Amino acid sequence: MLARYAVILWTLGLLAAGEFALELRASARGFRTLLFGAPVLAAPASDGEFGPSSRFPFRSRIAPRERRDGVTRIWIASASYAEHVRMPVESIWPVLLQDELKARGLAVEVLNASQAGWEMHRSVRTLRELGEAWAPDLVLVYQMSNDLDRIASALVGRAVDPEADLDAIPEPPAPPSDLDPTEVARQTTAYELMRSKFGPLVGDLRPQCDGREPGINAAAAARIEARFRGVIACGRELGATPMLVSFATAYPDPEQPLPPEFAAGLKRANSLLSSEGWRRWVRLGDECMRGVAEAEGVPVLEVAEVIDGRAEHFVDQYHFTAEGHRLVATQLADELEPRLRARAEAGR
Amino acid sequence: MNFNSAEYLVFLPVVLLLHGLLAGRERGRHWLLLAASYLFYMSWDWQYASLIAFSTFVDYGLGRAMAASEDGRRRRALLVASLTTNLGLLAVFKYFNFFADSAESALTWVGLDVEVPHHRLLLPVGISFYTFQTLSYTIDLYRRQIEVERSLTRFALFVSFFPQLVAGPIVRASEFLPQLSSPRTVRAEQVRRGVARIFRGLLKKVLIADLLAATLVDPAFANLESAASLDLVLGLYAYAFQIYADFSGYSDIAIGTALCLGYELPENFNRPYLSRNVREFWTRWHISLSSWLRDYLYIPLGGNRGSQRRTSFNLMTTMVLGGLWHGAAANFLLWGAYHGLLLMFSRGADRRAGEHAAPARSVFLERAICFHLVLGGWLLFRVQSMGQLGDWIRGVSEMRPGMDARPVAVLLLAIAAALHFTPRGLVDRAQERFSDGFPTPVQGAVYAALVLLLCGATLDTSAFIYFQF
Repeated sequence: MLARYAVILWTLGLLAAGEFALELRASARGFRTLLFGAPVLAAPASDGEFGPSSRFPFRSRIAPRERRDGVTRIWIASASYAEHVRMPVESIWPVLLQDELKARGLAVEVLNASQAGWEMHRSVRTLRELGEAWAPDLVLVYQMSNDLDRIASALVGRAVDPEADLDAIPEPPAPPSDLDPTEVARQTTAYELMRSKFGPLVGDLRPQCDGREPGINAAAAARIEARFRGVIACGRELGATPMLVSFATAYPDPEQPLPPEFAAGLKRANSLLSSEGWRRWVRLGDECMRGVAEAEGVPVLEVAEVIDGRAEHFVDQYHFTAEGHRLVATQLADELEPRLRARAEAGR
Repeated sequence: MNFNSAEYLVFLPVVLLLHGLLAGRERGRHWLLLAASYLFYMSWDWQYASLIAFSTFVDYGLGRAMAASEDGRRRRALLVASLTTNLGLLAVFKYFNFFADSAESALTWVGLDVEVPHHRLLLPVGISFYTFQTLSYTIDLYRRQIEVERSLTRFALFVSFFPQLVAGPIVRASEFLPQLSSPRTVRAEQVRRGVARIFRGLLKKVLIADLLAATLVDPAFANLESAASLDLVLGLYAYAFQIYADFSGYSDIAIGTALCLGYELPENFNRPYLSRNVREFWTRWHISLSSWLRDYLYIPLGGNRGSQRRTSFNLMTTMVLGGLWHGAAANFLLWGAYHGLLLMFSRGADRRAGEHAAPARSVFLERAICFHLVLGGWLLFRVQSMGQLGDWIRGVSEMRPGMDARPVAVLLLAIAAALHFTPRGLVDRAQERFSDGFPTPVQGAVYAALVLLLCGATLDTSAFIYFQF
């Protein structure tokens, strides 16, 4: 009987064998895979020292949930730029920031609530879900590219749902069933690999926005501002002080040629904006952020000032190398130190 | 559960293997396929199943009653009951809100501000397809062209057979019920051919239809007010090939899946853009629908047996209703009327050609003219409102400069066109040579590679266009 369906069995068997081989390779290279689980590189330096764990849902040094007197809690609302699972946890900037501030004699705990792919909306939801229990004093917002991707898909792509209310906080999606074939397929290494290889090629076929159209830019600016306002308001609702962090990229100048691997990386994430358009939108986002910060009386911590355009400190257009993480942490510590001391003196 | 989804990649092999295990036990196989078909259908919304089950029970019961009666009036009453029930369901779920809107607009126009009630029921997937299928059964039974089906299981399977349930081909009772009554043997060669056909459909859907949509069609139609004229024109050409690749791709997957189970479904497309006139187009495009409309609507209305005026009326009625079958919207109605007009002119031209010597026109020219006439229809089909239609026409007539479309996307359109015009025999022979001549492991490796390629090229798992009808 099986001989009749041999062609189907061969197809499925070869797919399974191929996936197994790809997962083995990916796991050995430090990627999370469906069968082998978490990447080796992302494992904590020593057991129990770093989250995330079932009791501490942040990728940073584990801290007790109960607040300790005299300790300032810094919540990092960010995405892959701060989570960076391929980087050893002790080398990412939120952890280094805590170490740096402690070394300067300041008692702080950093709660790194960042995950790859998160936009500001998602950060707001996490703040609402966990903020009360963890009671942060400061909320540092380092977000940009994921929001631009989403806004571009609505304003430039338009095919999805032009009427979608992008500024509403989305409800959490129902957790996917372990047996949902689509979810399982999306977690396979073969799928990831194919998407990353073919995605940019397919994306290249589409007409792309170069970030020069005033109408679209104005609509994008309104959405970006609304998002920054949303996260600021949420931080304040929790009694925390929100602070915005300027977004840094490897090649910020839209006219500057982008190395092919950087361009391909951008295309994977956003096939609707050209690389020039994407960089113009980052500038637009930066202007919006500063405008909102001024209007809301929120400080902007200047990370971009020290690292923007220094491509040697980036692994792609917006993820840092180990040295890049160190520079960011040091710069943030420089920016935060006087503010934290002032807070301490004021008795807060 | 789309055909181009991970769910179907799991669902189909499981059904095929269970079907294989039940070889020689036809009843068991029918139960399996019936359960699989309902599962497949309920993957959109479990509530839809009650509707298809209701339709099945009604037509099964009416069919039995019709077969048991020799009284012409009673048989006619039973047929009317079947028509009323099936078309009534279609009217409620698909057309009620459209007619309510139209009534409201008409009343407003005469100065009456009346709010006509609407419903919020979702349109069940594939309702137009299976309604026409069950109607073919009761009408053929009334005409005594087929025997009554006494097994409820077989009848239910005829109505809900999953490969063609949601988007055709529309299979008639006379084509499918005899296949269910005889034991089906599934041979390895059939499975290989079926799988090859499935992949042919998937390639059409993912590499042609979806890519054309993402690169040329959607950007142009999403931006009618400001897109360059050339982009708008390219978008329309691309849509002609998108809708063909999308729908014929679906039909290929349906036919291939059925073949793997030992059943034969009718062909639904025959390179329609090679037609030399619109009448020929309708023998090549969505063949199962056009032949259904011909046999169950146009001919009963009188066909071309009456006066010219009557024939024109019959043609127009058939095509307008055919347009409305696609959707309850003014653009579909216009699309149907447009094709009705084209068919009327085509008939007139043929008649005049019969009276005078035929002009020496090249086949190429005839095909080009026919293609562009059909293209005009696709514009009506694609726009979502009359306002959009006006925007497109304005956009093209203003001769807006520039072109946003990528040259590679235009090349893709050229490839899609070239593939369409490739002789069918060539493609079929290549497909058969591959499925019959290559060692099975090699075929498996090629299909595995294609699955990966399709995963990579899939922008989003987009549904087939004809699911909405």
